[in-house]
Amino acid sequence: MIDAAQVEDDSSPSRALEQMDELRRILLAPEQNEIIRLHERVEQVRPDPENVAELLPEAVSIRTRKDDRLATALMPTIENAIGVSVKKDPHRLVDAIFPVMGPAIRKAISHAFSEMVQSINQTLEHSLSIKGLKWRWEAFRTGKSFAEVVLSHTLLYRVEQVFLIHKATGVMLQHKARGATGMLDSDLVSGMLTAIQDFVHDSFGAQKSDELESFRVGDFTIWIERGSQAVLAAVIRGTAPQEFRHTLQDALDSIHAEQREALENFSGDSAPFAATRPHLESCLRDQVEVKAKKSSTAFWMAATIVLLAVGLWLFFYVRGGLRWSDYIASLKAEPGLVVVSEDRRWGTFYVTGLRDPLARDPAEMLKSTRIAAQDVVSRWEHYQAADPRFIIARASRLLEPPQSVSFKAEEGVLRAEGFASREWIAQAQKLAAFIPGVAAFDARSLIDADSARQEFEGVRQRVENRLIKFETGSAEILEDQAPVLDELASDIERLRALAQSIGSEVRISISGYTDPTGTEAINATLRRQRAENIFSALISRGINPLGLSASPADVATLPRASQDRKVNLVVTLSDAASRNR
Amino acid sequence: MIQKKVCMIGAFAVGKTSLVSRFVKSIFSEKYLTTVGVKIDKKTVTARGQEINLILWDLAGEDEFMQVRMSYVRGSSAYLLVADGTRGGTLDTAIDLQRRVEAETGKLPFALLINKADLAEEWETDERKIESLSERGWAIFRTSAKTGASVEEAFLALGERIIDL
Repeated sequence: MIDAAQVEDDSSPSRALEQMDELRRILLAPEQNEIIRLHERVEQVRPDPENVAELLPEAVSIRTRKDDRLATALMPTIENAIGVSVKKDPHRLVDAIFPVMGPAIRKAISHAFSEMVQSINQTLEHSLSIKGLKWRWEAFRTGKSFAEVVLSHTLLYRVEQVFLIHKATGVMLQHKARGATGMLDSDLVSGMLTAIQDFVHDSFGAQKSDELESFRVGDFTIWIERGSQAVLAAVIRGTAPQEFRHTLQDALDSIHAEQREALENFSGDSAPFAATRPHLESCLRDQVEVKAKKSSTAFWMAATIVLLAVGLWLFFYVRGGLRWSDYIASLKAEPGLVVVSEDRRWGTFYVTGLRDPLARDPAEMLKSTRIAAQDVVSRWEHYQAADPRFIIARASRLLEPPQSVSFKAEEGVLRAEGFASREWIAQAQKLAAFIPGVAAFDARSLIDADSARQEFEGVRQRVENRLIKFETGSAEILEDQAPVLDELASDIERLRALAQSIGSEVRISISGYTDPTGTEAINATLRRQRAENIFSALISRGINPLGLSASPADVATLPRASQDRKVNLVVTLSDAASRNR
Repeated sequence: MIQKKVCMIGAFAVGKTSLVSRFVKSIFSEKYLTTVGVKIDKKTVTARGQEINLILWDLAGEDEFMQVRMSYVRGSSAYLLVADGTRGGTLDTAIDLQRRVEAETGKLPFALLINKADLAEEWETDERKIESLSERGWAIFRTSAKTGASVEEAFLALGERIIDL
């Protein structure tokens, strides 16, 4: 190589390169060819299947250990492969997985079937009983299916017996049974229970930790709970909830904690374990009782509420009824109202009847009761009451009588009393026929005021024109004047009667006169005495002195011609009613 | 009242069950032996003035097809080995069983009952073997299920051994 380098140094650089290439070709040609061949092979890489087959299992297992990318990558391929396989020939896949799927499917079907049969049995059993009806009601009320309700009720259990067994020897430490259910020798049963556990464990327990937890015999399930030193076995009728497992565990834990020493040093003497009785008793559960208690509390609460509601309703109903009957009674007592029917339906009161337009308004009367107006539906037809009060009221409205007239109604006859103008009386006699309830109008007791006045005028003139004569210088009443006085007295009586009939009073003033002869002093005395004597004479004839006055006439104002030995009377009529007022 | 678990083991058909059936309280049927492989009985004895309840685990007999389940033996306070005096091989089985039980449970009181003592003319057990066992401290009883001979004594002796322990 050194020689070659020297030769190159002597010549041009390109020549040297050529020579170098030449030399390389000579020396390295076989290796270079091999490299080219290898290079080509690498270029068109096609792994040798045999080599891959050798490496593949190991590669797969290394990759699988590392992560699950291989699984992800293979998944579509495997899915495709299964799809293609099933499409091509489904039987192959079925045959392959049948050993796995067959038993599982059989088990699932038989399980579902037995459940269905049980459910049908229970449904049939409970469909027609009272209990069944109660459950149907509960299902309706809670919105659950009937089957669910039945299941919830039949999921009752009762722990009949509990055995506390020493784990190592199978010797019974304590036994508790409900009532007389423990008929079999519990020592032997304990031993056999232990033997069965050993048997099952030896025969079927794949691992050391696999233990018999429960087994079923007819209606009974035996649950076994293990501790480090002792075993608790519970004989249960029915189906206990999973929580009961905790009850057993708790009891067993407590027993272990309390009896640790006794358990560890156990040598066949079960006497110390009498102390575990309460724990065993706590396991003798009974779900019916618990349920019944719960439901009974709920039942009593519901019953109380219902009772209270019914009581309240009854109270309001009765009170409403009392108020209503009071109202109806007051309607019936009210003149001009006739209750035809009354009723009460669903809290609403109905009343129908007849009402005189002049009667009290029933709606007004309702306000004074404590019944709500909206609770009352009433229908009143108009009618004319035959009650005297209504006839009189109606008559008063139509006839508009003067104050001096009063009415009485008796058996359809309207009787008017008092006095009234002739015109009014005539009109009233015509109109009375139109008053409902009035069959006849009786005006006989009614005084025609106009004719009474006329008569009064006549009698008054007669009285006033009458003169009672005296002797000169005497106040003595002459004997022949007696008949005059008698007539006068009867006229006065008549005047008074007439005045009274038209509601008036009569005032009569008796005036004494003298002739102009004689002294004024004597005359004055004579005038007074003459008047007084006539006054006395009238009284002695039975005239009431009330409204009667005697006085000497004031002669000074009189013309001489009218002065005479006489007494005369002046009658004045005054309205008694107006004066009284 | 003390209760003790006691196993009864022996070869097949040595008359274990019939041996005790007259002397124990039993509530389970013979079927248990062939199904579960064990049947529980109870025997009350009064040893040294003390009452003991022996809970007897009557284990299915051993033959060439079936071995005694050693799990049943665990927890025992004592055991009874039963052999058939008219079948020499059963004594060997009993000796073998004793060894296996002791390996499982450690040293426990036990007694060997050689049954069918009433069939003396058919007796084919090697007396020397019995004597050597006796010399090793084995409590050996020649019993008869038929006559009931020595059965009570065997239980009583076992009870005393348990108490003495």
